[in-house]
Amino acid sequence: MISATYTWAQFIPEFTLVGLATVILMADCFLPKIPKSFYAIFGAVGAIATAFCMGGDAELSRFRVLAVIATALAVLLAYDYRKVTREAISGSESEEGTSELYALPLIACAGICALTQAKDIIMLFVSLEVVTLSSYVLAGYFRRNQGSIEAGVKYLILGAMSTGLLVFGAAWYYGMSGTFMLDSSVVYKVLYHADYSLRIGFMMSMALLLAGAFFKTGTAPMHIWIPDVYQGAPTPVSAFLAVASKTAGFAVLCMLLAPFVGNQLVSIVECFVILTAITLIIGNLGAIGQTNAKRLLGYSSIAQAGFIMVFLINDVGEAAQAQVANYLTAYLLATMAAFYAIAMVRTQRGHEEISAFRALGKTNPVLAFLITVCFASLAGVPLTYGFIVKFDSFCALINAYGIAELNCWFTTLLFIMILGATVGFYYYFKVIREMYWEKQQPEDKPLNVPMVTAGVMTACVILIVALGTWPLLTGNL
Amino acid sequence: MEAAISSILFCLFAAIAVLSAFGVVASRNPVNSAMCMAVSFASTAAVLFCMGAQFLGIVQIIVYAGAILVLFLFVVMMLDVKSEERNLSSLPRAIVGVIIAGIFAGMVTKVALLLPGAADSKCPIKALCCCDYDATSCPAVPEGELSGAELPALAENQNDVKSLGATLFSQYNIPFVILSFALLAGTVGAVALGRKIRKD
Repeated sequence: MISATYTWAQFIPEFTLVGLATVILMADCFLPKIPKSFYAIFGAVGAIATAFCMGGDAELSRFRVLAVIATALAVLLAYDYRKVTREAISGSESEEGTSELYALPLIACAGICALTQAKDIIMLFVSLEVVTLSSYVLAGYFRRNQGSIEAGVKYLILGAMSTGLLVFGAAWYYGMSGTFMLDSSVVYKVLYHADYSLRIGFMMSMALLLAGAFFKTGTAPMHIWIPDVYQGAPTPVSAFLAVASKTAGFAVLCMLLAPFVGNQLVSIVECFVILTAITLIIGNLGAIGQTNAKRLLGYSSIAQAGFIMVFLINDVGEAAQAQVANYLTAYLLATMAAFYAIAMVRTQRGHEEISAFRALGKTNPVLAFLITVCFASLAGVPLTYGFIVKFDSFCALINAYGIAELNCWFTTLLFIMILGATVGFYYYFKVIREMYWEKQQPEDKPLNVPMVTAGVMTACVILIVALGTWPLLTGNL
Repeated sequence: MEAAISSILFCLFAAIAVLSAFGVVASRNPVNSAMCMAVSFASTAAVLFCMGAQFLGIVQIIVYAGAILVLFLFVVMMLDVKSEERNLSSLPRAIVGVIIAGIFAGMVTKVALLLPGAADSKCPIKALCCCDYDATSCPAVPEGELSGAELPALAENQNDVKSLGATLFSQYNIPFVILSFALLAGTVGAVALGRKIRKD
């Protein structure tokens, strides 16, 4: 019987992350003198150190590094968000009961790291469950806040359903192939089997497994949880779900689709084109009417998932995986910075509506500029990294079909992508308009930018601009 | 004869499991729901027994029917959950739900009936251990990698628990350890969500 072989040494980063979480939980228990918010710094620094020490030999190692950095930034965001956390947990200045918010993302991140190294469905499912279980708790962490409870319950029920689909798919996969290995030889043996019915069963198992992955990436039709959960969950958790959890989803997608590379027998291109188109339409059109900034980012994350899906339409080889990782990097930089801005505005102006950004251009010009660059990168304005990767996404589609070939799938999707990118300018610029064009009201005091937020946002913006201009200067796009 | 009885028993218990699972959702009284769930768990365990997976059946009864369900009833009792007020007026939504569920069930049934095992119960429905795949039409399969791909046939009186434990602690050892992360997250989460916060 074949089975995937793993070595313990492969999983050192995972154990380090869980070790960090355990240290935080133990210290929380036995050293009550330490301020809880210190754990956020500790966890984030530990996670970033882990990211730097991780070896890059795994196939999806870039996804792994991205997920760890995203988690570190989300935990760091929880540090600047501690005032809101305290109010939501204990209703007072007491810090009691806030340390899990710093420990659980690290455990979830260990799950994502294990996920990227999975070679069979057992490991994939087990590590995905680590991510999902921690996320359920995190989404509903603010027990006194109705929105957070709603987010937790919605995520729990829909997440359980998607896990059910995944497990059902895994059972069929085993039934059809006799192994849990995710390998091209397994795919070949089943697809070229004399018995046609096995092929159908196998494709059904793939459909169910993909549905489980789509839940994490936020691809239609598994996207419905995203706006509600992002809006209701604590902002650091929304940031974690938006970036780290989505990275995990795309790692699963790459893993499931990679064995099909170069396969002429089955074609799921049409199916993927339809799903991508629906995702783009729902994400972009849904975002137009939003007034809540977190909800806006929720729909934005659906729309961005649509653009990433384009890379996976044809062949999920090494090149496509690298492109997905590039897009996720751009998405991480811009979205994380945006969530930092939202968290800061929420802490100091008391709400998360887009109107909370009002007149920041006059009160905090530098901050307003940083936020502008982030949203411009999400929209895909030239000279930002967001433009380069979005351009890449268009190129991937054109390369997949060839510009000369007039294919109705291709032209429709291209049209929808152009439409989506255009609409994106409208809704991302709503925030920018609010900052520069709205009149300053007497209650709009200048924000004092905390150091962590200032540092992270500046770093993100520098990277966005540097990565966005570098290819233009060197001439290799 | 033996095969006939076992398949009759299988159908019987499977039907009970499905019907009582339906009762869990349909019943308005939470206690009735929990009781239906108990029946569903027990008949699932019976199905597992029929298939010769004694250990899984026992675990199903101990863990699900024993522990989880009792916990469920405790929660129902302590919270004093009233029977649910349900709004059944959204008929279009129900119809859409039934259509989607019907399509899904139809798809699974159709695929299951197509399989070779549906017609001939002797044929194991696995691609890699059943008859050979069509070697002529299959280009460039990386041979050799899967040479040992056949599933080991379960010996008639093989020790169920022993083989399960051996698999868990040898072949699936690392995933098993990763699974403990999930348990850790679950425990921490249960404490975090369930604890009482002192008000200072």
